Amino acid sequence: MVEQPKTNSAALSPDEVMRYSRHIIMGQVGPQGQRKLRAAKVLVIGAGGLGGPVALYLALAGVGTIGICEFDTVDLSNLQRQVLHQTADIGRPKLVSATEKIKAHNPHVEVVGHPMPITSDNAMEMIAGYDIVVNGADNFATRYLVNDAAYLSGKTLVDGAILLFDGQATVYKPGSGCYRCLYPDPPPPGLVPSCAEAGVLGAITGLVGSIQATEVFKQILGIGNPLVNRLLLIDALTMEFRTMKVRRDPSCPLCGDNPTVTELIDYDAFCGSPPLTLPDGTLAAATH
Amino acid sequence: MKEALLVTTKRGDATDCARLPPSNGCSLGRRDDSMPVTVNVTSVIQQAVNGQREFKADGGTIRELIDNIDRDYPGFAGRITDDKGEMLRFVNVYLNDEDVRYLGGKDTAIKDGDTVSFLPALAGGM
Repeated sequence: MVEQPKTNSAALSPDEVMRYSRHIIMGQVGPQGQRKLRAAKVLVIGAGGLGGPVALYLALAGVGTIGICEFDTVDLSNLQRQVLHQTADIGRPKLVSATEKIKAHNPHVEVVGHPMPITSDNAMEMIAGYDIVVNGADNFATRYLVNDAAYLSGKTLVDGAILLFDGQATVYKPGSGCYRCLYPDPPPPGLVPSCAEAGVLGAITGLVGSIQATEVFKQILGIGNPLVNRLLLIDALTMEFRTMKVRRDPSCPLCGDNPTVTELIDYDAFCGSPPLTLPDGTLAAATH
Repeated sequence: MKEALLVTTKRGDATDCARLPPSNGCSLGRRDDSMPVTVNVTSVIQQAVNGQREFKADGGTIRELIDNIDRDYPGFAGRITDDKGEMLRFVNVYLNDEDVRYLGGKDTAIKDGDTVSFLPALAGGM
């Protein structure tokens, strides 16, 4: 259950005013915006390459309630890019490691842990307690699950993905298109490699994660032009940023004119992927 | 039958452009610097086009462009289309910044100066 943060109207403490002064001094934020950040509740899926920098920047900015859904443990191979975890954390639950680092950075924020995979059985309840969902998942089944759950819950989804030197980011607001509009079907298993199989530039996780965190701030503060209906593509090798149009597909089975996906489905079957293996070796009924 | 375009190789020989490997900068029956369309691919497809991120190609439609690229880089079309030639639903093709599914699909016309991007879904996050 998500704890209720301080109300939006409560005054900022002297410590908060000083801590967030570089934000508060900006006209687009101000004390009122900082109180909005404090009252906001954001769920981050994963505390790894993308979820780490997202959660970190949300915490630094004083986003009052940060939910983290993460069931994995820290591995030595994570440390090339996952900024919330350190050498001494190897073997520890990522959620514990991430919570410690976040609280050390900013004790004012509340971290709500969800130490399990997000599944069709728990996704709707998990998401219900939050205003915004941020996707840092590392597989297609979870990406379609989070997309569907966010849409069916009426929540904005701030999406990001990385592989090798490539990054992508976009924002799905219910009614303005979704991940299924962008990619109607997942690729067959094995056709698109994972970061573990193909590799990923460590720094691009920070690049895309920072963009996702920025989009969350904009959503909370109601400022700027969000990445809605636009897919940002980043090529780290050429350092070129391009944006492509994302449209709501009237034939989308989730958010189209005649939806057929009206509740969460079996995403492992949909993606043809095997169920996740938990750190203790058991198989999770991960995404169905 | 397309008429052979004779070009001069680095050794000074005249040869049929279409017979040269793409690394010679000569493909699709036209020299590389005369290709009107810029093609962008991401990492996943990069391997299928000799490691290039961006290159020039020719084609009046998306279908022709894919066929022409596939002629230079056999197997490329299989990354974009299925056995029946239909575009895969996890690979998006953009004409400039517009998804061709909202234009004319594979029959979308391309003009000189356009950029076509092939963008498969990515799932990495950890």
